[in-house]
Amino acid sequence: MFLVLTMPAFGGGARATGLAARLHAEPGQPLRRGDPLIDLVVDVSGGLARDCPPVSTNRIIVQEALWLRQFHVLPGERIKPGDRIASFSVERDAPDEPPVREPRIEIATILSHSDWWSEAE
Amino acid sequence: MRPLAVRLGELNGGVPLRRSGLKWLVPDGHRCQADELVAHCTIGLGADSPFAEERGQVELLLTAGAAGILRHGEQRAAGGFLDRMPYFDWDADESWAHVENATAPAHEVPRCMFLVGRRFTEIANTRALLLNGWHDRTRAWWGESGHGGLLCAGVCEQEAIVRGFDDYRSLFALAAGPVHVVHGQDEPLVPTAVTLREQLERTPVERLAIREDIARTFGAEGPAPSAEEWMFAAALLNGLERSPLTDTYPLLTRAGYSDGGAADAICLSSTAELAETARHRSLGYTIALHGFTLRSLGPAARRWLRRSFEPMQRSIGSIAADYRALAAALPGRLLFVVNSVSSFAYESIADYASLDDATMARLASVRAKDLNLALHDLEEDHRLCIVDADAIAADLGMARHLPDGIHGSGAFYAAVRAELVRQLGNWGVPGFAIRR
Repeated sequence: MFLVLTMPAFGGGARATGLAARLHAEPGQPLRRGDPLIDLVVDVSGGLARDCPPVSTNRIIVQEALWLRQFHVLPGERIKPGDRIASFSVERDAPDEPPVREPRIEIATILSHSDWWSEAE
Repeated sequence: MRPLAVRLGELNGGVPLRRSGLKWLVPDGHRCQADELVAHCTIGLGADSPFAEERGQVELLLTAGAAGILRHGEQRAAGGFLDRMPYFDWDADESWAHVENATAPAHEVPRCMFLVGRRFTEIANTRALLLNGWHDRTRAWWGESGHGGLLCAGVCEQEAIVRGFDDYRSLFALAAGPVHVVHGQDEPLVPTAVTLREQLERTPVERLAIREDIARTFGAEGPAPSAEEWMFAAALLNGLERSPLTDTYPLLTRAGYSDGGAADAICLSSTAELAETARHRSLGYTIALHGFTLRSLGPAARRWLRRSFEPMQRSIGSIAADYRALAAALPGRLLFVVNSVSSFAYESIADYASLDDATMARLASVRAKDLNLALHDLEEDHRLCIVDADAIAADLGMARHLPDGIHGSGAFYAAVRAELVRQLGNWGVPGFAIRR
């Protein structure tokens, strides 16, 4: 059985935009419940708010045992609600087939400040 | 019944003043309340007045004086710049409005309120709207004497709580007596407990060393700073050279100038206590900058920050220690802290036990709850008083009242404002009893 994760709406509906900040897994890797998958920097204003923009970093955590088949985004890539983030299968060697549902996930808002200071100039 | 003729009344103890034309906040025929602010003008005091820091200009807002139907009086103003600049002599006997069907109590000389802002620079001098422009501090007070003072030195939420979206008028409608409220800008130097304490303790020699270091190092290597980056550096230096907690304030009243002294109470935001600050590598001072400020910087400012500062992670224990030190440095003054909203709109964690240690250590909601708990410990030690915005947000509902998790509704800020005023009144800060 194949599953596909799409970017959640984050309450902002079609306005929210995301930036793939960090991928935590590799294609072909098994994921257990509680494993982090990806960090998304989300701006629910869709980039429209310049003063004190509603930006947060959110970690998507899988909540069921899966095999990661493919990421559809690269670090630094911008995405919007409904865009595909990753595909999974329940069985390790399942043949490709259309996805039947979204995986069960949790979203955790995390502190993200430190990356700025260590970023290359 | 004859309409009540509302006069300007004596101001500044009768010392001659000049004013701009009156601008109306409500239309002719408006059904007003006695303490409702209905018109405003600019008062010119001159650079040699006690308001030199604020460029010698004060905005005066007039109440109607009585409940009833307000009729605009004939004005000498001719619109345009004559309504912005102080061209007219103040005439205490001038009748500027009438109130029809006025109900008691009715006052021919109405209550008035003052607004003033301290600009970052003279060139940020737009006067197109009330209290418009780039200020590092704004404040407001009623025109009578005996003020209780509140200084708000938190993040942007405090602008919404005290200045509101109507230039302090909602707060002044709540507080019964003569109050003086000051709001400080939180950008770019975020007012954390440690930066505020360092501002208190910084000597003139240390301020000069910071100024000389920035002058020597900012843009000295790498790309030339843009105009916006120079303004960032200047605004940061402005914050580092000031100490808002030791500010004292002149006041203008109907009776004359008075010395408002330092604020009786100080209100901070625990949201300002960022998980990470930065320490200057050679001079040792601390800066805290919002993430969105950091992300907006150009290459020259980024390079300067990275070369001049080292990041510092802040534990909840170290933040609590900073609050204790700050409270100890402010004997006799009440310290209030608006706590952190600790539920995040997009978080959907059902099972914390399944999370790995790295994720647990970086959960923003857990850190906010830990910080709020630390505030409760400090409150029990009588170091500060909590304004529980977290409980108010939970009570009203996050999805409706803080839909993006950061910016609240009018009802949310009204509830936090009322709670702050209630606590100030309970602690006996003059003027802050809730109006009945």
